Amino acid sequence: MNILSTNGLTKYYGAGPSLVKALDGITLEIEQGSFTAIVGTSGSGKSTLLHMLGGLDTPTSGSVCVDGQELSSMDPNELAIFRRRKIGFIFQNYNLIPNLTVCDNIVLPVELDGRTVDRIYFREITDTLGLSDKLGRKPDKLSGGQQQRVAIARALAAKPAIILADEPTGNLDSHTSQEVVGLLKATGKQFHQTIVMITHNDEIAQAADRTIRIEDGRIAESRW
Amino acid sequence: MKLDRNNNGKILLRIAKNNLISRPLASIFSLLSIILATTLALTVTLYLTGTKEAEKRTLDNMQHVMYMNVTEEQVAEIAADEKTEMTVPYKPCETEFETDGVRFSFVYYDSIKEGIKTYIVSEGTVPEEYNEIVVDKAFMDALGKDAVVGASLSLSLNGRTEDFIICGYTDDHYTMLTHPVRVSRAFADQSPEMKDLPYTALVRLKDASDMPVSTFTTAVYQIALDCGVNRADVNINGKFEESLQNGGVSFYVTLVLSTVIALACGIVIYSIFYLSVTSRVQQIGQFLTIGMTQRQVKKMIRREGLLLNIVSVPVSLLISGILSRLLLPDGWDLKNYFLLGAVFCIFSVAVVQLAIGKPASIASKVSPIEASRSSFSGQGSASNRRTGCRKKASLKHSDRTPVNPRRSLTPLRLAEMTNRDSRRKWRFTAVSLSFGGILFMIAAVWMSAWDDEAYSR
Ligand SMILES: Nc1ncnc2c1ncn2[C@@H]1O[C@H](COP(=O)(O)OP(=O)(O)OP(=O)(O)O)[C@@H](O)[C@H]1O
Ligand SMILES: [Mg+2]
Repeated sequence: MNILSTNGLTKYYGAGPSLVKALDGITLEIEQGSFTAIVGTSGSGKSTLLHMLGGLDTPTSGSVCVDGQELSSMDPNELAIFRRRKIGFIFQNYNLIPNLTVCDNIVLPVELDGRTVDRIYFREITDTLGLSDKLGRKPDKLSGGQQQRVAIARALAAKPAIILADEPTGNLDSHTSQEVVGLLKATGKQFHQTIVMITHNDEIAQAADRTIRIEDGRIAESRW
Repeated sequence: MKLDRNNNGKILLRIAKNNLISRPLASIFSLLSIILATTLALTVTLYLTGTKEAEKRTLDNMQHVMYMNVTEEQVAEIAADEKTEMTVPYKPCETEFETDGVRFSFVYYDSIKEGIKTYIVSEGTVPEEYNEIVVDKAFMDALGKDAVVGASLSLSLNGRTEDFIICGYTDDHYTMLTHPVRVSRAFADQSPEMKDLPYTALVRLKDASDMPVSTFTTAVYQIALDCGVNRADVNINGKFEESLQNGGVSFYVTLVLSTVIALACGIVIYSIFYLSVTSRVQQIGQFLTIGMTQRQVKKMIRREGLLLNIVSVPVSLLISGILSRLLLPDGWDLKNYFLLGAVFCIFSVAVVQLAIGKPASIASKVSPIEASRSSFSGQGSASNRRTGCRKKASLKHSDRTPVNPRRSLTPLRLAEMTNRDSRRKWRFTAVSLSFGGILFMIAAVWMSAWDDEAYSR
């Protein structure tokens, strides 16, 4: 079953001679529960694609359909609510809120949705990610690997269907990278989540169920 | 799916609080300007209403008009006029006498506590017999005698000496050079010094405080006409007349002043929040990415303003209360204080919210993809530089990377550049500071201006 699909997705920046085709007709389908790695050279359009999949940006043309919902039909407020319920984001620079504690950071998407966190589930993810003893700390008191684990916990907190990760290991050393990706994969399996991850690291790409190579805004290769 | 529901306010308040704490300087500056502005506006208003209240209290115990050179019959006639509420016969004796180097003069009126306050006997009784008098204790001090009720005192009048019995004392301790000696009606009517002197009628008119000035003066002269008093002998209480005239003036002064202060404060808050929002574009992008709605972003920024108010309002109330109490103890009125305090609380909140409106709406228009623009979080890794600098190509980076001409110059982009362009930032800070300064100067000028006026009274 496909949880995520795009059809003829394009994103152009600028106009005339300075037109940039960041995405140039991407049609793909991603199966529920799968772990997909997106690779490609710098500037090939990977981040742009991820932004479209997560409803962070609007495409020039084409459509994105997540869990049966057409994103182009939503206004910014609906998209925000869609994001906090359906999607967990993980970025290279962690994107944690510096003045909130680790605990607050993790539960933020859930609380923004007016819900309270499922305590048992919360304990489960923080235990799995080894964060139980760091919940009261501020993110800047943690190492890069620990911060990224907090970001993973936050992405998982709202029990989203999809995890979108943009170079989550970009700022980490190779050992920590392996560890973080391992955790991501494990939690994804444990909580039945679909993972789409951009990476420059071939080793990490190897670990995925499927690898999609993007070149100049197009899918150059899709390998299972 | 009800998408617009479930906006939890508590978490927003907590984030707002954290936002304020994480930018202590801006928060303190905002707090100070709100406190300064609210305190200033409230204190001046309290002072003005206090002055009015004090004046009203004085005027409540004074005559509205004096009819001079009248006979006893005319006094009775005036008292009988239906336009008058209170009529007090009064006979001053302008001749000054001297005993043992202490000057004094006779005056006759009854002891009255309210309406038209004359004098209050603190010890003893009012003079009734011909030679009974009431004097102030200060008079006895001056004479070097003990203030004993029933003491006899001989006073040398021009060419003769008269023995008096002091039946009562006042405790006013006037600082006048000539001490008043309150005599009985018998003395006023029969003594050689006073019997030929005319009476003066001290009069309060009915409901005069609510009259327009013209109605009041018409009534005053009508009474004079009806009772045969010369126009020249009508002596209207100027202070009372004035109070009828400029009843609304202090209200307008307060209004204009408050508007000016509110404007200055609003501009300070606006610039601080504008600056803070533009420097938080990435963080706002993060909030949006993880699912904060535009509405929640707006709410979060507004909550920051509300929190500033919650902290600053009690401080302002306290300072204004103490200041106006000290400046004007006579006009202090608790009910007035609470009423005006509440009004200015609301006013202060309204001004801050109004000023924040625009920055809040700018914040809500931030795009969530701002979150992944990583260069100004300062985490420089290899890949960060690779992606970051290209995207972040700003004027400052132009030596390393050319400005990407393909990037459109949206307001957001400008805002982002503001953040990194310290000169722009400085300009904003300077504007804020100078408005703060203006606010402070207005404060100083007004305080001293009102002080001067108080002195000149
Ligand atoms: N806001 C924008 N305005 C104009 N051009 C943009 C914008 N965002 C991205 N681009 C361009 O779109 C293309 C794709 O960018 P994108 O960020 O998706 O690349 P990427 O594959 O993620 O690269 P990297 O591996 O370096 O992160 C690039 O040429 C980039 O310059
Ligand atoms: Mg990228």
